[in-house]
Amino acid sequence: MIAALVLLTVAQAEMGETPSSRATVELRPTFEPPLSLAELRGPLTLSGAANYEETLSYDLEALLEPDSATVRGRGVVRWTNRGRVPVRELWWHLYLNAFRNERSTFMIESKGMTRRGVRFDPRAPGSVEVTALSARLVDGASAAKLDLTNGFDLLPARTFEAPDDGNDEDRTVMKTPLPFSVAPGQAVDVSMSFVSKLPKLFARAGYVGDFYMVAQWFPKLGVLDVADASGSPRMTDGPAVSAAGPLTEGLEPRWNCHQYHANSEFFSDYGHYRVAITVPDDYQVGATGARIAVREHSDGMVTYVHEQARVHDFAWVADRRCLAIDDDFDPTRDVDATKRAHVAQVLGLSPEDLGLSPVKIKLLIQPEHRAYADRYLDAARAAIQWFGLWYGAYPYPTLTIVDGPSAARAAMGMEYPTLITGGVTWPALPGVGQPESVTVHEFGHQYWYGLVGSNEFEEPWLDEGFTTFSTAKVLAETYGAFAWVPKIGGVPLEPWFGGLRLSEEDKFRVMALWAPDTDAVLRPAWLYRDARSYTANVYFRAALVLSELERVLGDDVFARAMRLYHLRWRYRHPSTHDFQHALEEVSGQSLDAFFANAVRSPGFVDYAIDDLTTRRRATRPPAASSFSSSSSSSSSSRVSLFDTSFVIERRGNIAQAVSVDVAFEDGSRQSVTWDGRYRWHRVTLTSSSAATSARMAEASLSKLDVRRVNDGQTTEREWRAGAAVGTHVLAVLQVFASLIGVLF
Amino acid sequence: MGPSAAESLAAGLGWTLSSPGPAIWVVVVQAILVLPWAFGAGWLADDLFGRSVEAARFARSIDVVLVAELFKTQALGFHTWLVTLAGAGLVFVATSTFLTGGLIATAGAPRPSARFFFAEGGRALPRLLRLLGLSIPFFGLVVMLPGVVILRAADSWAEDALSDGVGMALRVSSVLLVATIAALTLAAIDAMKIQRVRKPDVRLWRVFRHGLAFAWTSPIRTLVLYLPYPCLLLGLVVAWAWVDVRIGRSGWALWALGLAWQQLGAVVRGLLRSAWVASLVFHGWPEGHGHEATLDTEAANMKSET
Repeated sequence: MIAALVLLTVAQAEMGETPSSRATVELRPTFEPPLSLAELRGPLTLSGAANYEETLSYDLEALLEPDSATVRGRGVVRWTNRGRVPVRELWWHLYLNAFRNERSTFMIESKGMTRRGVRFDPRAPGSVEVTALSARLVDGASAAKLDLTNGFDLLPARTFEAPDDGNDEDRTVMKTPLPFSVAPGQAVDVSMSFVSKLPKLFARAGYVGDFYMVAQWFPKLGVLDVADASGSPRMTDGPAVSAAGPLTEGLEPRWNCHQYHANSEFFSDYGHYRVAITVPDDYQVGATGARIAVREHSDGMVTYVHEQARVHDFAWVADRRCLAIDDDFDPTRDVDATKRAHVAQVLGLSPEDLGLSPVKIKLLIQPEHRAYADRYLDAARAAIQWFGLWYGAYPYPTLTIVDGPSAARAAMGMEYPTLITGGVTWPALPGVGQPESVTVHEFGHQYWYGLVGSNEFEEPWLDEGFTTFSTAKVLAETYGAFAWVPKIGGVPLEPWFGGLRLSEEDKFRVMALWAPDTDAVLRPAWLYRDARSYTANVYFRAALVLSELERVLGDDVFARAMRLYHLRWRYRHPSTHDFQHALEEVSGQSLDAFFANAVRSPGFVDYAIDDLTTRRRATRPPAASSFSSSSSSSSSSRVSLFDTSFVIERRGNIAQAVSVDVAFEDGSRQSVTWDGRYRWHRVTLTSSSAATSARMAEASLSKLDVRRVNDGQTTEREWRAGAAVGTHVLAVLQVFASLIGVLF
Repeated sequence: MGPSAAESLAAGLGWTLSSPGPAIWVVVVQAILVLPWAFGAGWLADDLFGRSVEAARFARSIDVVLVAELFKTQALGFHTWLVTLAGAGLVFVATSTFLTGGLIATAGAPRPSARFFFAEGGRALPRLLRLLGLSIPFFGLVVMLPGVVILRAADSWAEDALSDGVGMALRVSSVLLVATIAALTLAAIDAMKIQRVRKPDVRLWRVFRHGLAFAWTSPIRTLVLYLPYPCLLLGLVVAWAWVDVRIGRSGWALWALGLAWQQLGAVVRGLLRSAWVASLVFHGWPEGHGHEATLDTEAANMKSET
């Protein structure tokens, strides 16, 4: 159990910390886990539905006016106070206001340019204007009903808040004081009307041509941090941030309602959505949830009614140009029995425990991308199967995949409940990872963000890192490594350089190297040093952290813990601590030190082998015959001894115990261990054969090690590497000189 | 009436194949020039991972992950390489100008000697460098500046295009347009170079005017004459690279094979360059093909000595 030893001794060397000292760290209060290890088999087979407690219901109507890129909306939202204290204010996300001008927090952070280099067009801004907002307490069990005249008008007292950065120009968060208290368990109906002006697409939501990506389009309530049994508010695990709303003595209600940031936009409560979308009848519409009704109007308009429970957002798309392809995921046809048996074995379940549900898949695809339809659909089916078997069945009856036009690339690669946007750039040859990669990734968000509603603002790695990690699993199992294809002018050089293939894990490592120790994996999304550090840490180093956990805990333990965490926190808002708790529960190990070093603080692992030498010592006769041997005895009767020496260096700031395998000329091997805490450790060995190499043992090869090249050393120099590099450089510079000859 | 573009290309190719010396000297000079960098890189690689257990992987093929590790964690930053290459670029430019002078001067000469090639290259160098002082700003003004504007505008339009086809067509069209402007401008500059070498007494501004007239009065002819070389060169580089990345370096034999393939590629590129320069010279100076009426007296004397 070297892996377990390694894990248990992970500690920060500078602090001289040990696992036992780490174990004294006081943890924040948390819910009592509703599922226990003793009943592990049970929890691993549940759907997670028992977790659900409806907080919200939205009943909205939306009218798209294409000429002005405007959505006129109205409706009623019912919010139930699930906390333990009365609430006297509501906090709202008004995220389209991020595009009002160039002074919003989103614009400042993104510098007006996000999502594949598309720039904000100030001539086509976006906004959401709330034109009426009226509240009344729910009396009994009456159904929510739009009523803008009889309630209390909330607009006169509304204010715009900037809890994260104090930016007065930011209007993405609105606070509306209530003229009454909403007691615990009591509900309030808020009727509203609003006008959402869509910006020209440059970041996620907006329009281009006849394509409308309608996301973050309605006033959406924030999340009330409900109190646990002790009365303390539940908070996420991230470092202290200037969260929204007052928080005093743990009894004041606190709204978790962040401003719209360049790096994050999702955190809201689960609820029931029913939305009637009216568009010109020549538009295709895709939306969250199942379509339950279609009403055609005499004026050339048509209304599509969509409904979905247990989701935390609602987005839709309207496009006049796209094709609609209906397909499905049929478990009886699409689930591989061998895979199911394997997953069941790893999870300690029976294959019957892993039943999946049918899913209707709608693909809205651009005509020129028609050839990629099967690739989209196959990727979606592979993802539904993989995620369903490992983490639990996809519970929704629909999945809509949107392939936008070239000019809408800023809206592609996005996730919304039961609706994802893909994206493919012509020509995408087989073996190149699009549209497969983006489809699987965005579907993965249905699990890590959709079903498990972690806070993307405060702990973005819980959705992006988990999704990146899971996506890699699906892609590796379904497709193997994709070709890494350089492009010239957008034209891929495949097949000439198609031999250059990168596994997903290799991709993690390469990408994580861009910022190996700039920021921690766990950090509020808007506080990363820059976009590069955010991407490197939240997506790729986070995925490496999960790979490392899988390595040290073992495949089966890790898989069970992931499933437990997922099912336990479906339809709820877990934190990093909750994830750690699930891992510890299943593995029976304390992971405080691991999380402190690899998740909560910047740092990297790097152990190196250096100064390897092996020298023949002065010979001596064999012990058994030494008395009778003379000094002139033949060399065959003498035993050669070799002194081997090398240094193990810790060059990273994350310490762990390491094992080094030393190989000898006679084929024998010897293992050396070191606690890994000090900066270096010299090893000397005496053996009957010369050493040939010393390398980190397989069990010590951390996925977080940033330098594999120094993980082992040989006694003999390998000339071919330098010679190969030298001749390659020679050739490249000769080509360079030839090209210069064209100009000069 | 002068020869057609096709006749000039054929003549240039024929002369190069019958007199490959200048092309070989170009290759040799370029190889000598880049050898220090190659040795340095090899030495650095050997120092960094010659004793690594991963060294054999490096030798076999390019390992993207290990290369990324080296660049991101061993202080082999992109900017370091950029500065190094920029420095190398300046030396390359001066050398290339020298070699171009030699090639222009010897084009058409039967069996030109190495002495003649290098002497003429050296003689032409100051004149060509002065021309460079004019041609670089000219190129920037006529090609770089409009090129950036055109490419950015096309990119902006392509971003708004609703279909990939329209976007790609816009991008390809803009690249072709800029490439055409660049080709015509480079043809003009090359015509200036030829006159600068072949008629050393002509003043710079007249050379400049001559170059423009040569390239721009008949743009189609100029493009037919001018474009085959860069297109062939790019194709050759891609084909060479396609094979090169597939040659592993796991032993002496394969390493030697890879080196031989690289040098073969360099020789073919050298021949191509020589043929191209000769084609341009013959097109502008058809009378120079086979006799040196336009060479200055000193150069002609030197040639006759050899």
